[in-house]
Amino acid sequence: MNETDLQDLYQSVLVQHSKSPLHYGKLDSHTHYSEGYNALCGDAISIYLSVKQGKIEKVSFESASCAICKASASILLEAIKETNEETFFSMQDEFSKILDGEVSDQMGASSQEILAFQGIKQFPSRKNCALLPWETLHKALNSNIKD
Amino acid sequence: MFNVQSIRDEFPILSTLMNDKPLIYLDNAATSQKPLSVIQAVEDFYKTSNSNIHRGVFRLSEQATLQYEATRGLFAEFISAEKETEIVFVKGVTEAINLVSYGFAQSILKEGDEVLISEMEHHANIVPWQIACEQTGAVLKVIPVLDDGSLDLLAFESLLSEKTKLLSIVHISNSLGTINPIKSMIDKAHSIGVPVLVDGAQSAPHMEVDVRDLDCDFYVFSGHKLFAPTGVGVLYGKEKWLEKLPPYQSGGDMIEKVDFGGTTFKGIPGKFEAGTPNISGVIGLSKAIQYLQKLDRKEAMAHEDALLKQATEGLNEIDGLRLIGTAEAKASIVSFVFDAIHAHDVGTFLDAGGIAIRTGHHCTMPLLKRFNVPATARASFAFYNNLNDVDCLVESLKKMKSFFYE
Repeated sequence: MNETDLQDLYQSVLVQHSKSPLHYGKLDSHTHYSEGYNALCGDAISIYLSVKQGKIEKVSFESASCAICKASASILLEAIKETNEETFFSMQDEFSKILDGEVSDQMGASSQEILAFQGIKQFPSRKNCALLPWETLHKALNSNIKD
Repeated sequence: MFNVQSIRDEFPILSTLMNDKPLIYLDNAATSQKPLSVIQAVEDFYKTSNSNIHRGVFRLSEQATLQYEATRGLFAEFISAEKETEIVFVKGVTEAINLVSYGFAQSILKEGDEVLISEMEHHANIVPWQIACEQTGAVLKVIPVLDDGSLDLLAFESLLSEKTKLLSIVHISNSLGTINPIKSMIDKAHSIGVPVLVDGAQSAPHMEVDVRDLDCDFYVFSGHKLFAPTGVGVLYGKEKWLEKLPPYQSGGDMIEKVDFGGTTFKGIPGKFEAGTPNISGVIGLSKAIQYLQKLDRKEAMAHEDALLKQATEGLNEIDGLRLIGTAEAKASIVSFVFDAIHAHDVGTFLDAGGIAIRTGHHCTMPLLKRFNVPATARASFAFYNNLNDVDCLVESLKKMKSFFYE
């Protein structure tokens, strides 16, 4: 690992998302909600969704977390807004592969920005930072408050 | 003159590279590095002396038993304990506190009793007492921490009462570096008959510990923070307390006689050492103690104080950096946060330059909640660190700011 790897990890798109995250804040009229914690480091994230007839209409998150986690949440929510569960699950599979460094030409159809996470393979201890929003959103989808 | 270079030469890991850079190891509060004499003692044990202890009549086993038991005496001397039977070998501080909390829950705590700890405790000195209180109906009371990271001693005095059955308190905070005035706290507790357990995980590596001078009832250590291998530690307990507490674990080696009609246990300390212990770890610990006994501990402390001073001054010059823990009495631990850069990102950036620090909650979640931060970056120094290590830390943090901000 060296400074080039650091630049690969903190690509400008991720740093921008972490500094000015999209969909940041509480969603008052949410139908789905979950909290996620990384017990190792104390990172915490809350994800709010408003899902109507299978469509993820509104999304938001709040977090006390690192740049990687915040950027991951911002990019994820932007990508799944106005889609549905199936899209999320296929993106989640793709995201896991990207974190493991298995990138192919077909990837990134739903969000070019998630490809920016491929630099993380050099930083195994940071993989959970990127995954936390995805796992929390998965839990949120199973937490139907009111449909 | 304290010769840091000759000390560094005895720690092989300090001359290795990390991410193609010379390793700068600043996570000593999590675990310390080991001198060659410790590493060799563990290797030699397996090459020439390995056998089980307290069992065989053959020479090899007798030799292993002698080496193991000699460490007990050596450790008793190291902390000025009155008797070597007051030294119990455990896995580390966590097991030591669990041993005491289990004993208190079994035979001392009753509904309405109180256990007094502080807001700056490591989880290892919180969770065992929460469980003991839940099991017995006792109440856990917590001494608050002031804004500078020192204990609220007025609150301590008002929280201490006849209901208190134990004060269990950290000597040096692993997150803040605060050195607590435990001698006066022990005196106050004893004045109304309250026994005291001191968590010495961070203090033993930094200063000389004299349990008779402190007059504490229990003092607990982890070997791996004391330049010894992982998985070994010591519970010091005054004889009268160790006699009073029941066995924590049971099985082989801790018994006198087993019969289906009933079992009798060994006396102290054997009744607390069930099963085959970490023999090589204890032998490694003996070498670590011998290493420390050869060192001028006062000079080593003065050197660590100089590292702390330089680090504090250097960090204070960085805009946007805030130190968490600025008490007057501090050991060589600095915790800090940045306004706009999360501790994890700080840790990853420094790691790329070969600098190892700890980031996160340091197993003190209630303390970080009190300071309203989710995580801190923490650099903790040992006597083998040098001023160059401090300078590299400060310079890398300055570079990091431009990496993330520009």
